[in-house]
Amino acid sequence: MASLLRRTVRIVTDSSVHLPEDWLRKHNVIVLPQRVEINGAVLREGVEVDVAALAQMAARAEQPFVTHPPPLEEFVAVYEQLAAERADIISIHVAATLNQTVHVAQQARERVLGRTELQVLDSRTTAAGLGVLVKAAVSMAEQGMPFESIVRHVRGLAQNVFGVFLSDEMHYLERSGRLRPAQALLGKMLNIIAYLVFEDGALIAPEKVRTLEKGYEKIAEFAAEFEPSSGFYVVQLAPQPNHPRVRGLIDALRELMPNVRRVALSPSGAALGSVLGPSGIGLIITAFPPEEAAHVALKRAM
Amino acid sequence: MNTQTERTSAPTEAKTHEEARAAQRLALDGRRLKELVRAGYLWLRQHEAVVNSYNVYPVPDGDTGTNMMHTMRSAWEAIAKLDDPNISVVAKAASNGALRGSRGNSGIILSQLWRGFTRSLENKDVCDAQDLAAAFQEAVRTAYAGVGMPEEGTMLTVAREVAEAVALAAHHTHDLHRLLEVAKETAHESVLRTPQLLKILRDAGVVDSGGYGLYIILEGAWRFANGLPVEESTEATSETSGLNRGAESALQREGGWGYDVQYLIYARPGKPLDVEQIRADIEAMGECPLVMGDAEIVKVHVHVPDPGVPISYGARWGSLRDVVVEDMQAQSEAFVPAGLAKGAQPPAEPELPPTAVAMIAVAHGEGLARLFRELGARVIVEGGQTMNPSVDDFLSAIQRARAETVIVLPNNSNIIMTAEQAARLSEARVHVLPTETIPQGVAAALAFNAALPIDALMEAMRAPVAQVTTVEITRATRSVTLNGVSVQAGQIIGLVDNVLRAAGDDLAEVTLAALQQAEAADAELLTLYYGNGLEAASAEPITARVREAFPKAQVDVVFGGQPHYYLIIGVE
Repeated sequence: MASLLRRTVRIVTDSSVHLPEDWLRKHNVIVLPQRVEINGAVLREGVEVDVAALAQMAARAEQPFVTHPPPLEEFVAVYEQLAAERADIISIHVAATLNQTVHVAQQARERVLGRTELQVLDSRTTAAGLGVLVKAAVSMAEQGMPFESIVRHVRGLAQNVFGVFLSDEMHYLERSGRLRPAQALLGKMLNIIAYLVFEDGALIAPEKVRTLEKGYEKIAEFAAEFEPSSGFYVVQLAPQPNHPRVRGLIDALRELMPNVRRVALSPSGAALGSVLGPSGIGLIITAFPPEEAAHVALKRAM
Repeated sequence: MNTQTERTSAPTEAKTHEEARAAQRLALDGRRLKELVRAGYLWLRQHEAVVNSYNVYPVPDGDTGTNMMHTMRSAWEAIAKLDDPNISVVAKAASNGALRGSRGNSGIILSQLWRGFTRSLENKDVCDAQDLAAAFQEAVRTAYAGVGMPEEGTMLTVAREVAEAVALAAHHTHDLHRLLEVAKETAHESVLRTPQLLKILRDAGVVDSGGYGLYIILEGAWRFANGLPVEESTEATSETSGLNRGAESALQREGGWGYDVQYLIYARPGKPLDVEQIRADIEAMGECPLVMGDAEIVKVHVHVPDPGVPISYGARWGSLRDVVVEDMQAQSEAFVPAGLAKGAQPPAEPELPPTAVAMIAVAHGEGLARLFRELGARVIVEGGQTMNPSVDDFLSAIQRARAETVIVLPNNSNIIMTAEQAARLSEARVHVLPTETIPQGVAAALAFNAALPIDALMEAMRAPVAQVTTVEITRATRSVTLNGVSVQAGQIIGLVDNVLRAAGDDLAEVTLAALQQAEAADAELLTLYYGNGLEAASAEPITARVREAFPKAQVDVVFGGQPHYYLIIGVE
């Protein structure tokens, strides 16, 4: 049988992806849930707690919530099962700068080494950015593209996904430990808003602003460097279209880029949310039209 | 001048006082210079408050007299234990002391004068009239070169006119005492002319304070040379007591020069004021006389043991206004503990690990110091209540920062030159970002990012400085009318970017008026740093008024704890 000879490529990701359940099921994408530690409990993202509930809990919680990667055993189980199904695996995850998921996935990979082709990819982004990469990988796999090509193209696309964020929730920024200690001190006395960017895979806070308006302006200026046909996603833990920060950012964006076709909302997910805090907001940008990601990747390959 | 000939022909072993004094009149050696420096310093210390009173703006900090006094004190302390007949050795030590101890713009200029003076005397054992004239001229050249945009009507003008007069006089006399007298007299006249050269002085009704300080230093040296006392205390060095014999002891008053008296005389209708006559009479009355004006208004300033004498004298001419009487003895005593406190070493701070780039910020006040630390400043340079930090303060801060590259935020227009001076002297690579106010400094510090290459970092920090307007609210130290704003001593005043813009009796009203002038109505962000005794609770009603008056702006209220200024406000 052809299916026995021809190996399939399966995509594994984590709950940071926030793609619709139906779509994920339809395309056989396996999603491992991030663990959210809040109020002393550890909950599985997307299973025991969704972003809306998490946002509500976080508002009342005394301590900032933190995320932990899916446990090693879950990765090993998924990889072993797929290996048994004779599938090659591309495992694409939330940026390694946000939590240890990529690291755990690599450990799990050691366990199934030799049994199947398995590549762990650091998406260097999350949320909608991760979603776009997963969709492109699925699309390329379904078109029967060879394993190595998909890996290479996803890596190429990942280089073209950007993220800029604002957070004034210093206890989250500090607790997350993703910021350098000197920067963690920020904002005790002044209302300081950290302006963060994904840069070379790391989430850094190169600048600070004093007002949200100034922050929106900076994000809009960053966005204005891109073509209007690029993908623009406003991210917040559980974004609502009428949230003042969502409105503020979109207004600033529209003012500078009246030709942008569409600005989508995307939940940031627990991993990014635990760095920015529940009210942290930002923009993820794909330098290519997102719906054409797979196509763009193929074109670049040629 | 041929110093070799001078030395062989001068009596090296004076047998009598007369011979020694005659020799002193022809050649100045290291020991003699040391005494002159001490006299200049002591005399200035006594007149510190007077010099301070001539600050153009009636603000209670950045005092010229205090800054210059500390600079001279540092020069004196550097030579106090030095016993060297060689003038170049003593001058060099004094110059280094002045350089490291200089505070404020006036102190920096004074230290530059010292530097040029010393350079001209290099390799000389003693100094004669020609040498002295040359040294004064080199001093002036150096000081002019050290100031970015020299302005006439300032201390520089006074120094230049002194040097010119001394050079001219040196053609006619070899007598150093005579030259000193020419220097002192010229300085006095030159100081009186400064308001004609500089409008802001004229408007403020003062003479240039730095120029006046320079005059005081020269006068102190001249007094010493003429055997007149230069300090109120009875303790006198053996040299002075020796010289004082037969001196005009009538000038030595009991209790020294107790009171600083200032007032304005307004002419009565039909009775014009005779400025020359008033000047002659006031000069006879006491020390440090300063009389200027016209037939309509005359400003009088004098130091006397009894303040009643000049006041009743003035009242005979016309009606008196803005009468200020200060007890100078009390002031000079009040100063001592502050000076000691400053000198005391703070508890040893743990040594910092070395780093590539560090930020140093000047901040007065507990809250502001903490704020700059939070913004990433590695070392905070703190000034005292009335004095600005010295070059030495900066040098030790730079050392403590242990960084290859240091960025300094002076946060005060009167501290920028000091920071720049320290930058030149330091072995580290030091960049001074000339922030003139605390809000400018905060804006710059927010952009600090050690990961950036230095050029990009300086650019990133410089850019936001221009976006900030600064409002400062304090209390006027004297009465003045400037920029059409009339203020009485003790009233609340508001400055916008260091210019007087509002005055009144109510803190909140003045704050709102100054903010209007600063175009706060269009601002996005107002940051209020409260200090000078204001606390969270007492600042609240004012900040509530500010929020109400400027509803469009985000209003942040921060504890600054700064002295003198009730509020410092950043308008962005």
